Amino acid sequence: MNNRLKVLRAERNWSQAELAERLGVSRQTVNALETGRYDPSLPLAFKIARVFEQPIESIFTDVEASQ
Amino acid sequence: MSLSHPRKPHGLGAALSIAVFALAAGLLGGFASGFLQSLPQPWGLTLIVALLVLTMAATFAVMVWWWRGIDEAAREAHKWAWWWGGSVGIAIGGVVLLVAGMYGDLFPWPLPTGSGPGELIGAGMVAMLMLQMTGYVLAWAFWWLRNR
Repeated sequence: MNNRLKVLRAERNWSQAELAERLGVSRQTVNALETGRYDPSLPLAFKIARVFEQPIESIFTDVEASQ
Repeated sequence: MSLSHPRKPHGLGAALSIAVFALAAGLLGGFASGFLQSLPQPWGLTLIVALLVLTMAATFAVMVWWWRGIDEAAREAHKWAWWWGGSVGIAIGGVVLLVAGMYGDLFPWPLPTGSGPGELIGAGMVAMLMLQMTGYVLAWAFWWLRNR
């Protein structure tokens, strides 16, 4: 699963710690999400979509479906 | 849950706090059980069982509080480490302890020969726990290093 978290965060000038605070997760978790090494649960993915005010499919891309 | 003020997940401080609490509870349960063993039966046994159950229940309650307070990636790391690290640790411990039991004289370290069944069971339990915990900690560290 690919995502645009890092780009979206940079557009808002948020640090990883700031995004972590908005999501209610640790900074380490934000880092793992941004590097694509950890895929979020559905509730966390929806929360991310709400924080960035974007539809979930514009943030996350299913790599298998796009191949 | 408010989107603007979500709860901050537990960090290192909470993990260290529960480690200290678990250690204190274990020491209290162990030493108090030793003291209560000298009481006449059935009171000694009854009080030891009640104390150990209470100690375990209190520790478990603290663990539930901590588990509910960490975020989902932290939970995933612990679940992964528990399964892979703990299982490998138990597997290694199973081989080592079974062979040690059969060929104790070939091992370089002193085995608790001459001890009673209680001491031997306790030594085996602690040995397995240590190996399981070692595997768990290594696997937990590996998960976070891999997912950085």
